[in-house]
Amino acid sequence: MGPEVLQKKFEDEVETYKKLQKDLTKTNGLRSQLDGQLNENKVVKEELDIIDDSAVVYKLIGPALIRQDLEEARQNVNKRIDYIQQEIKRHENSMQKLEKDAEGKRDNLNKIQQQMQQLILKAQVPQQKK
Amino acid sequence: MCDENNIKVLHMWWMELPHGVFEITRDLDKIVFIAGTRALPSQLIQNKTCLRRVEMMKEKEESNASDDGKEDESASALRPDTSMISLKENLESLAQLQKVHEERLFICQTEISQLKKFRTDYLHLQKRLKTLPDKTTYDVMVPFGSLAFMPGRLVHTNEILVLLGDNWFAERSAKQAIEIVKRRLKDCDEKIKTAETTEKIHLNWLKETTEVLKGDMGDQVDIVEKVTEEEYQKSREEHKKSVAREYGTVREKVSSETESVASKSEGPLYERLSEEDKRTYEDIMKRLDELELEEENDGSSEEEDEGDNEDNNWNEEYEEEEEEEEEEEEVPMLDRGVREEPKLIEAAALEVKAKPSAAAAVIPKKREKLKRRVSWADDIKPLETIIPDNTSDDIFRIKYSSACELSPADEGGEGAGGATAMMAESQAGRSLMVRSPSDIYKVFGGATASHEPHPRGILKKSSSLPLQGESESNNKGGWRYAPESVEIVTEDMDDLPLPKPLRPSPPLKRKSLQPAFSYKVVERNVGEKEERNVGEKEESSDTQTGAIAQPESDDGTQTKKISKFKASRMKK
Repeated sequence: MGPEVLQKKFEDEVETYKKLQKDLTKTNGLRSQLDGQLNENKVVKEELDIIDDSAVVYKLIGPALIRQDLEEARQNVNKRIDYIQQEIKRHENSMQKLEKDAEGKRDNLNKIQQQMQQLILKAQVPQQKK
Repeated sequence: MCDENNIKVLHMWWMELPHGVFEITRDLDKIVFIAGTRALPSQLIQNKTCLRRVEMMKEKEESNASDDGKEDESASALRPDTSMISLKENLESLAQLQKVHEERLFICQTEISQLKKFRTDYLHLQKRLKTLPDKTTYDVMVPFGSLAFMPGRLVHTNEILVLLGDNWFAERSAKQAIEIVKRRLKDCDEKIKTAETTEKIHLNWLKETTEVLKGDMGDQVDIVEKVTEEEYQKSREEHKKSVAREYGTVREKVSSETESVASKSEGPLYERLSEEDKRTYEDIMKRLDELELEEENDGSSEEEDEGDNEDNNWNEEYEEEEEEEEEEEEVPMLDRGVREEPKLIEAAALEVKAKPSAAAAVIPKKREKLKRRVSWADDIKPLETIIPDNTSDDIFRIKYSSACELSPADEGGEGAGGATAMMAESQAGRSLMVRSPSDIYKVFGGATASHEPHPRGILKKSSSLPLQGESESNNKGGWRYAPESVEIVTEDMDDLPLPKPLRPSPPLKRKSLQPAFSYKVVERNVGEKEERNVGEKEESSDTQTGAIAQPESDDGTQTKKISKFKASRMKK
């Protein structure tokens, strides 16, 4: 392969690799955010379980505090916890996939790099001979 | 007028908190007046600019996420191509690593300070909540926007809207709110603890990298001491002498301690000994270290007489090891009389087995002096480290498995070899007290001793061997096993039975290791015919090798047999 073609290929690979890395970090960030939300909801769940049934619960929807039924509130919180856990799992899966792709890309990049180096060496030798 | 206006303000007296906002609000149905105007609650709610919820948790998480991302990137930046970097670049990357560590540490510390701030806030809140319900209304200056305050009243002092998290509020009383605060304080404290441990870890990492960096930079220098060969030898000699001296003093100290201790009452020996033991233990450990060093020195040189030295040292170390174990197992064995007994036996065993080098001879004496009990732990692992380097050829090494018997070769081996034999034995045996000669079998017996006390005889069967009374004493082959009491059975010559072994234990199971004799001492009535008959008997009955055959008798025949000597005496 000609050196220029090789270089172009190398650059393309680098681009895709960078994109993969970005996606990876983004997913990572989302996942940790979800993790925080999960913890928060767990605390809420604990508190809701502790308070007695006669207490009043409100939910902040936009700028308004809307009164909620305690049972309803508990169920909502539980559902939210489950949802968040699912989301976390989904994100983790996508992260794994992305990592695998990134690994493959990295190997490709290394290979191309080696090829380029070989070409350079080969080019150098005839020049020296000259 | 304005001053007198009892302005009932729907005011939110809120405390902004990282983990939630505690709002003390009025019932929304109540009428609201601000400067005389009547406003709808909903409008006022809309105007609740003060209703801010600081989601510090979220912010913190985001900052964490970004930090993690940053860390990952920085870490990954350091990963590639380290093999191709020159030294300078290595240094650079090390410096970079150090920087990263510092950053992380900084982040940790900020986290911790933040958590601590939360903690103090919660404590303040708790205090405030306790005193809040004391009055039904408070006159306060209410913040109005960001630049103004207004005189107003704090009402509904016992109704507190607590933010539980994720846009959920709960109306609680002051007391209940205090409970919530307590729980949050607990969480906070736990978080602080974990953060502090991570901070410590980061600190250590940072310390290590700085040390490495310093080393690379050349602040550290190889300490090179130039010494001629003669000086080196001289110094070694002196070192050895001083070590020996030290050792002697240590031993004396130890012995004096134990003696003084032993002279006191035996009841509280327990506690006293444990204290002494610790000290002596430390001394002995120190001594061990010195000996180790010596060993290394000895091992490295080719000029000295390694064999004897190593033997000496080895034996000494071995002794040290024993003492250690003594101390460790001292607890149940505080009886002086008991201690002396096994020690004597040990001494005897040592002399028999170990090469009679000077050190070995000295050891038993010293043992007696010490009045210690030597016991054998099943695992004498530390000894492994003391044994001088494996490459030296002078040490005769025998490999053992735990269940094997001593081979006679040991006794011919060197002191080191012999001692290793003892070590193996101990590994095989139990840590029993050897109170009588028969216990030796149990302790050193090995696997076979448990289910078969009968030893394998090494004496060949021969017709010239005398019978009966001396049979028990001919235990050369079977000395290791506890001989059981043997019943004396007399039988008629005619009633010599077929070769049917009547042994108390079942040796038939093991063909190879059949007992030397049946443990039945048979006395014969007839004098002259005995030997011949015995010879016949042995040949006919004995399927064993090297066994001292005894005349075997049936269960039924219990005729008394007299030994030939007795017979001859009787005749006289």
